[in-house]
Amino acid sequence: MNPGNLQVQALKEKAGRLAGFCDRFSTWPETLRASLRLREAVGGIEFDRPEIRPVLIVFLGGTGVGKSHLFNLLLDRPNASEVSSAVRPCTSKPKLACSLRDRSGLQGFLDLDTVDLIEAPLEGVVLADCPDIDSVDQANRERTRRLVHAADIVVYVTDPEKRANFAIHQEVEEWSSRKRWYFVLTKADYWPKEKEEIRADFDKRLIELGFSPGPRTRFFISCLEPAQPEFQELRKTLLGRRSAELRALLPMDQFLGRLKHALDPALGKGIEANLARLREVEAQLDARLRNAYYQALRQSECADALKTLVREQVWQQAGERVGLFLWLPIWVRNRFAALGISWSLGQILMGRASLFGLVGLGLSSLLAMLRGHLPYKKVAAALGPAFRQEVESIRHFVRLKLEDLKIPLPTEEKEESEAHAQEKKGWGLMGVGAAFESIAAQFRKKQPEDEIIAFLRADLERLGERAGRKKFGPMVAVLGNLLPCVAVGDILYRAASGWIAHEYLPWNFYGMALLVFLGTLLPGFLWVMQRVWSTSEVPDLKELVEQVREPEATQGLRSARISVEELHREFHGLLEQTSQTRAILAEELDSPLFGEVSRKIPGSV
Amino acid sequence: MNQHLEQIQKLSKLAGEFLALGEQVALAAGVSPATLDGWEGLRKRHAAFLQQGEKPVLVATLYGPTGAGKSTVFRMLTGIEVPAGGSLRPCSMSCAAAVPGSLDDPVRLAALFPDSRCVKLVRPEDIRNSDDPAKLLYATYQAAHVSGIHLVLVDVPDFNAVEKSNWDKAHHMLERAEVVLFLVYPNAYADDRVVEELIRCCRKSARLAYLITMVPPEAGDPREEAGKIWNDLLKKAGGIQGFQQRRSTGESLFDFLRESQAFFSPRSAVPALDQIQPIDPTRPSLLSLLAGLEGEKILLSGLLEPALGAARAVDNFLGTLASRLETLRLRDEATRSEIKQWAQSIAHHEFPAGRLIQITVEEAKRRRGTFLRWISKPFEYLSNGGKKIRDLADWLKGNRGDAPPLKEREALERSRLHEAVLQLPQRWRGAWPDLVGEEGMLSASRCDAALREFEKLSPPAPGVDWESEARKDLETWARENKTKSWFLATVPEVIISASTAVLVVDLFITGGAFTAIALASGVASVGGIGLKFFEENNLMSVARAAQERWKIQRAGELDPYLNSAWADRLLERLRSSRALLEGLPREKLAGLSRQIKEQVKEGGAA
Repeated sequence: MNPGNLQVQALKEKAGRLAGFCDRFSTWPETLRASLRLREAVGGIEFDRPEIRPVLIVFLGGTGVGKSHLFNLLLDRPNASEVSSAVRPCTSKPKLACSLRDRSGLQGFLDLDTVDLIEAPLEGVVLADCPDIDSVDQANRERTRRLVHAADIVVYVTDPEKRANFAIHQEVEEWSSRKRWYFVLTKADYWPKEKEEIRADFDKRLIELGFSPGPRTRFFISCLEPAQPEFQELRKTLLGRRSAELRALLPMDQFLGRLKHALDPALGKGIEANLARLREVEAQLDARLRNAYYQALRQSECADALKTLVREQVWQQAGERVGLFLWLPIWVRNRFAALGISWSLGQILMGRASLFGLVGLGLSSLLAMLRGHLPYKKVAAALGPAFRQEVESIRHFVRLKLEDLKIPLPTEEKEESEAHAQEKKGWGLMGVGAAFESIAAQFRKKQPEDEIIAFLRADLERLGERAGRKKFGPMVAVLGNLLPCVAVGDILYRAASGWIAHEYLPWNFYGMALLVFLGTLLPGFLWVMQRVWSTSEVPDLKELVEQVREPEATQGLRSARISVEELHREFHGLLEQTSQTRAILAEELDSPLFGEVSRKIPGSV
Repeated sequence: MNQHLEQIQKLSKLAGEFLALGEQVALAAGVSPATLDGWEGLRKRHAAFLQQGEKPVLVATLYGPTGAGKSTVFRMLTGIEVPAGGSLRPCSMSCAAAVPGSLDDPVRLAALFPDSRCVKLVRPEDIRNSDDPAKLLYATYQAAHVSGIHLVLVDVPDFNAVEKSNWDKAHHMLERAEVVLFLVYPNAYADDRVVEELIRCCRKSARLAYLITMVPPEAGDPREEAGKIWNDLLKKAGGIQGFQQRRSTGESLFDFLRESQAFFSPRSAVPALDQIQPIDPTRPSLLSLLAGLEGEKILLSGLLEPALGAARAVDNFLGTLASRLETLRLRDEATRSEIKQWAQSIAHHEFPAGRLIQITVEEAKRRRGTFLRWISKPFEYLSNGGKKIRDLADWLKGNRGDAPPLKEREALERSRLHEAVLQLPQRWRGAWPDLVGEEGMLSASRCDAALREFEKLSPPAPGVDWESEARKDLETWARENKTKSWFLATVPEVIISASTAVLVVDLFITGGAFTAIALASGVASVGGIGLKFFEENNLMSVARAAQERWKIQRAGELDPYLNSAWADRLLERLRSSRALLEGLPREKLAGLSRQIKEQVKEGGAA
């Protein structure tokens, strides 16, 4: 396989992928068009045996400019294509001139029933005379367009009178990025004096279309004077012998031209505009959600709960930092405190009585005690109805916004598949499983504020640790444990010396010793307590909410933004690769025999 | 002759009124009247007619594709040296007028050419400048042989070259000119754009002449060649839909074209006026055609054609306006009725049963005898004391301020209102996809903005009408159920004091966890307890009646609230444009349009 084919293969794959991406956004007119054009580019070109394929050269122009006349002259057959002096339009069925040998090469990509074939002694070239593109006969236009679509090289034929016609220019512009071009002005004999002026003015129009006209590709001729050098040059250029190797590159050139046409910069701009819009809305809504968190956490119920939680955190720290004997009473206190705190926070949250609520509250408090966990979740639950309403509004906004931007909702797919999975399970267990599953799902259901819990927890732990370090230095550890140490030392000393002297102490000694030991813990414990209560640190709420970078409520926007970003990347990747490959190909085909290409980016003014 | 003038004056009077009213209606509906076919023509020709002197002024324009030789013919007809025949395409970028010496007055010309800025032509090359699209360069000329009228000849830019700004200039002049000399070169006569413009000319002008320029002499007899082209054009025109439209006289555009005179001129290095000859040699020359124009007849015809076009366009416009209004009306009514339904459903789901119990107990107490009053006195003290303790407990817990028992109903109502303003726009968006999109009336941003504004407000407090009605019912009930009434007047105190005892214990043991239970004796939740209470006391009928009244009253309060606090803002465009369109004098305009059409018929017959 030759490297060119590999390149084409890679581009085809990329283009197919991009078309797939475009299909996701088929509600945008630009992407829909791009998708259709990409598929057309990928599937529309025959690459088999390019070396036997002749070059198809097509005449494009308004009615009466002399296309047929020129065609006849080039073939040296005055009646090959009918010409007329008065009645317009004259040609209505395209005429194709080619040798018998080249005819078979045409069949692959052209419907030969729609054209008149004329046998001519041409080599590797097929010349096509097309109907006009500007008369009232609309069918002519369609016939011509079909042929231009298949053509490798287009000859834009016009005369000085029609050279500035809007309709014709529009047609040329429409094809300019896809084809290789020659430009022919006819009827030079009518304007012997103004010839050079007209030529310059015509060049100006061509430059506007992105071409760089020069004597190699632009000709000003008269069909009445075919002996003139410029006419001879044109004949040599159009009918000249092209090497099979270079001819074989033309299908690839066409493919690249169609790709380029599909990758309209207007589409790129449309994608970028949508992306900017999505980013803006996402940032705006994220900020709004963070503010909702901030406002909710600031209200008194939450603030109180947070204060309590910080103190608890300091208590936890106290146990570890003070250590040794004082650890014991602190640990016991912490376990019981978890019960109480959970209970009272639960009360704040519930607000009113219900039997189920009370039982649930009791259970969760018990669980909190067993695990020694602090009930962070309950703080989140205390965020209040206003907060929940705001979150709901934001979710709603996201949904409507995506609809406004014509982006399919990414969540639908997920929900659907979940529902499907549930249905399957339900069938398997005769429906009972499904019922349980749905009940369990209710409990498992993630609350929107779950996302802030992790941050809240980390924040509180950090705060508690900082306060703990500050409040419980080695001094507290030493002094707090001093008394119990002395007591324990004394008790151990007495017991040990008794054992050594074989004078066993009475059993009530141990009882008393335990009581004395516990007594000596008290001052230290009270001191620790005092230090904990003097903690006044509260989390910096602003900082806390800033940590919520990717809130769940705006997830829809985020995934939409990511997929538009992907589309954007794919689009530019393919555009760049196409342009590069095309530039290389343009160098290879840089010969008068292959016309020129437009440098203009389609769609730009 | 005077018959024409009389018709013109009648039509002119109607047209003045029609133009003024039509402009008002169209602008109010957000449509530029200039987009209505025939409107500009009628406006310009009508305004010009009002400025006519004793000698009618006719405007004849040269009209054709780029390179057809408009400027060359203009130069030959008027002797004014405009740039022509060069190699530039397009050549002219401005309109140029040749006026008779007696009209050499910028003020007079400005009146004859409304919307144009008339500037005397000093340097011919100014015609190549395209600075001001409204500019009309003029110069005087000697109108040979023309008598009885003032003939103004105008040269306009093309309508088919790449400089699209030229097209409008040509179109504007076509609206003004009564006579059109349509020029074309042989290769262009069948061009799509050229035929399209020819149809336009047939529709708008009072008189048309067709001139095929630059017929190649080498192919044979130029007259024969031109004849072939003219016949081919007529053949093509016969098959083109656009030519089947009717003029004010009832003839088709095709007939009008066929009867118009056709001329030709051969291609020549030195073009001259006498080379322009009629294709049919028996008909008069171009010059005698221009000289023989009958002023008033053409003026009349020049008004009739655009008047007919404008009347038809206005009819169409009124038709679309009516269907637009119908859509607006249906949508407005649909939104109002859905809002009403939501208001009702909210009111239905939130009957304040607790409040009704309170009223019932109050009413019962008010009616109890002295004996009972004595009995319940100690309990009353107790329960009051209990309330104090409860307040103290609340204060200790940091709950400053009152928490009225109706708070819950309000919170419920607010959340349902919130749901309503989320759900309703979504339903409407589904029903009317044209309102969706970033710029749409129901865009996400607008919905959200309206929602946030709405959330800042509080729903109106419920009125007391239903309460006073309920109290009246209770009076009847108390008379019929004396024992029950006494019972009600006493028992609550007992219950409340009992629950206070529970509360005291609760405070000491659990820190107030059961406080909420005490509340239950004061305010029952909507469901179970309330219903039980009413059933036990033969109060069901009273409760039902009260609930019915509540529903109607609260729905009646919430519906206008939802409309004024939310829907009026979100649906502002819909509601205001409905009001605007309904207030337009559409009937009157339709009447005028009918009159115009009748007048056109009468004038066409004349």
